Amino acid sequence: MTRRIIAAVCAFAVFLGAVAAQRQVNAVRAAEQGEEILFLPNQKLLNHFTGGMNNVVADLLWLRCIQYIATESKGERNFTWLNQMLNTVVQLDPYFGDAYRYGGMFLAALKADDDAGIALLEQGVIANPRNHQLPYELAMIFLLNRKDEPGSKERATHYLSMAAAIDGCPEFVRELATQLQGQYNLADVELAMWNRMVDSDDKLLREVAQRKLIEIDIRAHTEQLNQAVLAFNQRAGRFPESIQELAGAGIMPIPMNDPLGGTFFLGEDGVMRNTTLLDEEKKNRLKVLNNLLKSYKNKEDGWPPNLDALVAKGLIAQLPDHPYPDQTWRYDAATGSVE
Amino acid sequence: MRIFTIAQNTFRESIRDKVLYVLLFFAAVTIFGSKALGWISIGQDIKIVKDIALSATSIFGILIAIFVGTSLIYKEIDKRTLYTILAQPMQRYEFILGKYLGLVALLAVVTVTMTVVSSVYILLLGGTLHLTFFLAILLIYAKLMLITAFAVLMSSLTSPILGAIIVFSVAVFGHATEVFRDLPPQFDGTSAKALLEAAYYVIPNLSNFDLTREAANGIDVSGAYVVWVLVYGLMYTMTLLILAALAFQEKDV
Amino acid sequence: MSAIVTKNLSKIYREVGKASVKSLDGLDLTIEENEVYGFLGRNGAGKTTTIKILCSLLKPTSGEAFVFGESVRTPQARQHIGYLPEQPYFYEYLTPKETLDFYGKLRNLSPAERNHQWDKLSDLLDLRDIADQRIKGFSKGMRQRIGFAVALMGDPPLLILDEPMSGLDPIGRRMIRDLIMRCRDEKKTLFFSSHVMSDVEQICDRVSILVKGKLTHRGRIDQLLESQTKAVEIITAGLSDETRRTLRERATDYRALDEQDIFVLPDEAAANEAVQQLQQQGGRIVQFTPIRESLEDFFLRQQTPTNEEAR
Repeated sequence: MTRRIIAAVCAFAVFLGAVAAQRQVNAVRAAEQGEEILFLPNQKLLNHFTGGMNNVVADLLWLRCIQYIATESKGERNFTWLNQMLNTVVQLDPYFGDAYRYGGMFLAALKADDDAGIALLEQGVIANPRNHQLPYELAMIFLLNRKDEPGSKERATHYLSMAAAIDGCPEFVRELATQLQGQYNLADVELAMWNRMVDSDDKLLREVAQRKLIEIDIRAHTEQLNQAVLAFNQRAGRFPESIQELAGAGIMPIPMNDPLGGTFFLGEDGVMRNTTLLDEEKKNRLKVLNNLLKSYKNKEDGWPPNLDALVAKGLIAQLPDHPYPDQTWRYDAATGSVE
Repeated sequence: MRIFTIAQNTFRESIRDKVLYVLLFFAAVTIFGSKALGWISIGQDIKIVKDIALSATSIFGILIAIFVGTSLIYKEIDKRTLYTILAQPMQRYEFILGKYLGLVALLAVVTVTMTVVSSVYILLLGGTLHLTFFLAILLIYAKLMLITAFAVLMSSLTSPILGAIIVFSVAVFGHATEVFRDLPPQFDGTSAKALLEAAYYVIPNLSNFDLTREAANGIDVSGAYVVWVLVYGLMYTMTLLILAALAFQEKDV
Repeated sequence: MSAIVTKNLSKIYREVGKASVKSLDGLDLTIEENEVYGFLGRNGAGKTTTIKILCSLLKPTSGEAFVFGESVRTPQARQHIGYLPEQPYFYEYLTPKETLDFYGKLRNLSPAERNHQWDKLSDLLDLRDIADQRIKGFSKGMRQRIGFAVALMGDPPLLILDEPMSGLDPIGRRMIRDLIMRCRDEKKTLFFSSHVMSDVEQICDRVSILVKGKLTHRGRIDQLLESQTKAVEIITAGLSDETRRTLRERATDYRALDEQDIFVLPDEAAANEAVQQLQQQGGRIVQFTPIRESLEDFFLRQQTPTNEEAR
């Protein structure tokens, strides 16, 4: 009988040892994690109930995410669910560098939601202080997507310096960080970035880069055509009636074919434009408007009566124009949709 | 000495269990097949293989621990091999401990095999192996030792099927115990919180042993963390083994 | 010192939702050293329960048991015991040699001792031919031999055997009987259970009878059985018809077999008279057999419900 009691007491004593050890484990973990990655409480629950397979679930979700991006790229290009998917992936695996990196990039470049991209990347930087790619991507977003905002160059420099300070950072990043001190051509930076990606091993990345390079080409060509229009104006004292007239005057190269299926046209104001670029721009600005509308709805609990209300409520300093010079946004206050 | 004899015998016997090889086969298929998932990623092949290799070692290890562990005592009773052994001049706990150690040795062989296979595969795919990867496997093995102790305890108390269900449920839920700690602030000072905190300590906290995130992404872990987790595993396992010995001591066979 | 002593040993099986079963009720038993003791009872009488308690496989609900003075709950008691369960099983993938080696290790025998024991036991039990074959596929008789060898491993002074002869053919049963006798010659104590009375009758010094968990009789066989002759059976040949007729009148039973006449007479006196008559009238006595109550008869007699049990 006494042996039984001794054994039971031993079992309890050892169990208390386990409790003490558990507390130590928690203490060590808390000390090392520092500032905890802020997840909303109910989102964190997912972490607990994967049966210890967090990473595998994160990977599978990431793969879904990629498929989603690929399908959307060829289709509507709305990327509605991208934010949610990416956030879930990084909750499950906070150290999943590529998810932050590509996620942030896709959010900014494909969905035109730089805020979300920036937020994601900033989370990534906190969780992965040794990853130099993440602050680099952040810098790119500030440099390219937000180049007209005041202070963006400063923030880009900040993040580039962060990246440059991390071990393993490639040389060109350091050079870029130094270059930002002086004036330099942002277009070159963008071109360099997409040129690098066009050599990637991955098909999806190559496609994205190729399309972006084509857009850059179209832009350059449009600019050339504009130069030709100005030259025509100088000589003839008026703007050309059409591209054919411009071509006939022999002062411009033959307009190229737009490989993405759009056309070049001459606007009323004598500025050369391309429909592919304008469509893309229209989509991007629509996304911005839609995001703003959603924010308005969440805050004010209802759609705004008109688009100017968005400015009135301070959600944006100025409404983006419709890229087509002869068109304006059509807004339906009942459904909150804009086109 | 007697404990070692029983352990050796248990090991030899369980190595002959066909269920073991079926599970190992599926584990191998899972690990090798994970490369296919890599094809639809954008360069995360190696990470995915590492994730799946670690998860497979964990899950299949748990399945083996459960299937072989819970049927351990029951098979002996059912086949009456137990009678002549327990009638020998030995203490009952020597038998249980011997059985446990035999199982643990089997799991060591399984874990090492899966580690070697995964590592070679990852290296062949051009990946690199970080120290954290092996620490993650070490902790998975500590987790398996804990679950095996639980399975042995259950096999002394109940039938193999019920025991397997209980151990499996604890294994799954044990990964979620941290949820008891994430309570919103309105719980402070309530008896509910005290109860949940007690539950947190009583249910084995298996998420402690999970280093998959760090391992797959090549991040360092502190030695202190690993050491305390191993201490926790040791303490909790010993608790379970003492309880198992107690249960078996009283058991009518 | 007595080899086995039990005091008021009881075992009640309780299961949730079922009525409790009293498997043993106040068993008091003493087995002396160097005895061959038979433990008799029907299936389910409690024999195996008793044996399992002695080998510490079960815990008694109340009462105590001692082996050579040590409480059966201690490993020291088991040091003295060699146990052969009913239908022993072993690890199928081991060979007899490996099996005995395994049990030798459990008894903490040194490698030299284990080898010595193997030599001795493999000769005694004729295991040499099958020494290196896996047990899987062995017949009942072969397994029983291995089981006996395991029980003898380490040379324990007390052998406890549960139904050692069940399921064996006559050759096997003879073998077990011979082994038991040999062990007795080597000064071992033997305690075994059985429900085959004829085997028991041949070799046991004393017996106990267990009926529904209670001890009803114990003692020497010849003291238990009625000493009177129940009847006498005379086998004759070459009788004249008249002799046959007169003898048939006296006999309680008669049958003819081939050319022999078999008479059963009620007692020795009547039998002697018949013999005299035969000698006078001519005829041959082939066989004269006094029939005493057999252990089986005695046993069956105990099974008829007494007043107490009928209640």
